[in-house]
Amino acid sequence: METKKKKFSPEESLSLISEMINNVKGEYRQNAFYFLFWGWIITLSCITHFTGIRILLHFEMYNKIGLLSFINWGIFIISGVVIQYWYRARKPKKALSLYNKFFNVLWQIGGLAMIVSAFISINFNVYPVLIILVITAMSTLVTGIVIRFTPLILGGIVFFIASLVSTYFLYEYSLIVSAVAIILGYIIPGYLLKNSKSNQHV
Amino acid sequence: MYKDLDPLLHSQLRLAVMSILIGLEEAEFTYIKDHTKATAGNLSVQVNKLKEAGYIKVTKRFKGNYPQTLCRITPLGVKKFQEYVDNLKEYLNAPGKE
Repeated sequence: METKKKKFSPEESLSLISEMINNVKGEYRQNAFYFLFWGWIITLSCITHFTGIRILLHFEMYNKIGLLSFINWGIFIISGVVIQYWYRARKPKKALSLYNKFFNVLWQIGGLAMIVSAFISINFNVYPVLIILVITAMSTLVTGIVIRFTPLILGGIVFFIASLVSTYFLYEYSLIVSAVAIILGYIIPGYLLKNSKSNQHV
Repeated sequence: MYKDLDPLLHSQLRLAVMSILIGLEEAEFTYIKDHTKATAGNLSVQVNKLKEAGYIKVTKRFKGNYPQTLCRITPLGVKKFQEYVDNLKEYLNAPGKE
């Protein structure tokens, strides 16, 4: 790009501003990784948790169900956080857009709200899945609306419906409802976002 | 003719840098270099001019073993950029201008 002394017209100025702004926007597509990564982690965790509960029920080991939940989710969530940290360190971002900063904060606070609500739910003998699905629905819907990406908007709606539907199922089956909701609300939109054209969003 | 346009911004590379930073929280020097397709030397000179005018803030730090130069637009830079765009619009909408 030339700089020196060359005069350029106001029309060229506006065109340059618009070109540069368009160049740096639309990078939310790169964040598809997080939807796919956490989508698969949570789906696998739901399936192993469900299978574990069925096995414990078969052997009538009812008092071990709480411990199983703790170990199952602990292993998946901690592994996920470690792998995500490693991924970020390996591929550091060269620029942080205002949108990405907003989404980082939204999902970090969302994650914290999920952990806190899980403890509250357990103490009140309520299925943690229900309230976690509501928080996931809110974060997904906000993200979808802000980046104007319909599959994520629909994903957010699916999470809201799943949280309502889960109230009609026994605990272990609400895990299957969650797994289906994650596939519809995270994984499918994640693949669609990954394959969408650059600069289409945000 | 362009007397209302800030001469510091009415330069292709400096305007490109400001246009990139206006939509970002912060950006690495190499990121700006890739997007503007400018040479490191030229970009460095222009970034310094913007920094000296207080339009952008430049921070140097180490990430691991590698030096990193981060640029961020300042509130003054945002104000000047807005004024520049407003003046451009005024000029383009001026009577007798197609």
